[in-house]
Amino acid sequence: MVREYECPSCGAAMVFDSKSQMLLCEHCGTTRAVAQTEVTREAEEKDIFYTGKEASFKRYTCPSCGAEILTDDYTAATFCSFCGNPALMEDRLSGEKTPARIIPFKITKEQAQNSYRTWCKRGMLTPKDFTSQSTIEKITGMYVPFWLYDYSARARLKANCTRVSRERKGDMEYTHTDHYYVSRDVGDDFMGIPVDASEKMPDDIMDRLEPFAYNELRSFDMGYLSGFLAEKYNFDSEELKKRAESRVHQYIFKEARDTIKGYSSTMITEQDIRLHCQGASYTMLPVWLLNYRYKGKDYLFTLNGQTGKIVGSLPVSKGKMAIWFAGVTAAVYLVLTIVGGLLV
Amino acid sequence: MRHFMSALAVFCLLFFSAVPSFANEDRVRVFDYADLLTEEEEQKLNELCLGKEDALETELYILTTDDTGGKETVDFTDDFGDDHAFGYDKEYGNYMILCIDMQNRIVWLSTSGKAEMYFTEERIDALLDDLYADLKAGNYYATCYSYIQSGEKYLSEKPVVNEYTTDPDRYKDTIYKYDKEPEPYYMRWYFRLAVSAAVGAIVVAIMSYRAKTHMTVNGTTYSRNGAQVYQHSDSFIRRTTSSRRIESNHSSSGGGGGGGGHHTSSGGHSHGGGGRSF
Repeated sequence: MVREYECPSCGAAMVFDSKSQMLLCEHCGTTRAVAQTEVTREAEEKDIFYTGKEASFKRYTCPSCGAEILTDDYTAATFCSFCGNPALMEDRLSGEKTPARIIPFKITKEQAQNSYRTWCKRGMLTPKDFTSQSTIEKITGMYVPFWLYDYSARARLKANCTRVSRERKGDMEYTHTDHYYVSRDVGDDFMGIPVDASEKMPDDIMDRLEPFAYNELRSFDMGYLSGFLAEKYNFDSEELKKRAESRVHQYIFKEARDTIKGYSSTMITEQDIRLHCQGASYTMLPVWLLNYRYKGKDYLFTLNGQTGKIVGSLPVSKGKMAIWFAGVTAAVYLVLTIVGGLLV
Repeated sequence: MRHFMSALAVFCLLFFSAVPSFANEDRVRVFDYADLLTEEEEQKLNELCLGKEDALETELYILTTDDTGGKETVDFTDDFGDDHAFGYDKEYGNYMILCIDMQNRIVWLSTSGKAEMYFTEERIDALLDDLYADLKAGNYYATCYSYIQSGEKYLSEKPVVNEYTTDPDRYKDTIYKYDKEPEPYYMRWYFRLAVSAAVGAIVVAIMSYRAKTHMTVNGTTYSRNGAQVYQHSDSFIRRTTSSRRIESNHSSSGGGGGGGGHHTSSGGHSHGGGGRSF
């Protein structure tokens, strides 16, 4: 089933507007709260699968124009390539696959483009001929599926610590080493450790997009997806537990370790760390994405669709690096020579 | 007219006898500005110094003063050598000066070139020890004589360098200096280049670090209430103690202070030396 939100006034397709946080008809300007909007157009999917070499595709019918929409198995929201209207794959967002919560987009496309432009200028090693403008139209907003894990964690540490003090008596210096046996039992709850569940999104980049502000989490409604791309999760919460746990493990160990203070040396002799998963919730988080190529290499620019935090790598020009290196070296050499010459 | 001629002759005679009789300036070794020595003594010492020069490949100078012009004895002596560009082998080469400074009552030995290399701290002390008694007693001729004897003795024999006689590292440095006049280490071009290149590399590294975004969250971002410490104990087990004697750096000279090191004079030339008050 493909769903589309129809404008109650003019019948055009409505999209989610980041600025007003409402559904907006771009045609006549009508706005509606997401939860209120019920008027939808729907079209049946055709049960035909095209199985290619690597991925299988599914064919839907656009409810607006009747054209065919080809998607891969995990697309949950997209656009009709023929008429450009938003299309939501309802069967991929319902039942077990219904996301529990969502953080709607707050950064508009324009804002995303602007921050991309300023970011491009920031890099002092960015090649001169790197033209950011050509691809900027292709920036797309996507709801990326995440699992938010809640963990309660407990760490028991045992350690041998020493404290060194020095004392001077006449001509003699005494070094006292006090040995301590230290133990700690520290617990903490970690809420909403995010792990991206989409295979297409690089894990390290998604990690760096954090933090998302969870106070703006909403109950999921398909309306938020209208006008954006969305993915269904590729991995379920069991499969991704390991990634969350390695982070929680690290966090609780550090918290416990940080309570051992005031020693000259600390050697952990025993550690017993227990993690208890309190649940995972399927959540859609907003991300602006832009793929670009420079000199045969692919680069990915991403922007947190809620906070505006930028994650990306700018191409680094070897020539500019060399120039900076040579310039700084020469300048410092000159300064040293002049200052040194004055001193001697 | 005859009177005038004879007056002129007398005048000329007086004038020329005022300068040392060994009028060739390159052969003056004794500069007795404080007038501690008689004319005869001066000549004798001068001959002695000149006689040893070829064998030792080093010029020996004697300098006395009662006005250093506000300089410290060490600087006065070093500058005196620099100003005259002394040296047996070349200008600023192998030479040594014994300076008796009557104003500050300090005796100073300044060495350069081969003498700087051969006169370790120990040897400077030994030389000063030998002449000290005569100096204290006011026997300036004997003092200078002793200086020439010691100079000959130590310049004919390479010093034994080990950790007991002198600092071997400094000695190595001295040999280096003996070959050519170096800049201080922070002025050597390769040192400056290394520092500059390091700064350049750091700047470029920071720039490429900043071209990428890094993870900014940590445990506190997701912690609900912060860490709860359920149990903690720090129990003292034992104390171990080690001790060592603090080594104090006593000056190696026996007299009223001094002791000699290597340094660079205001003229940019390397000198060794040592001295003491009397």
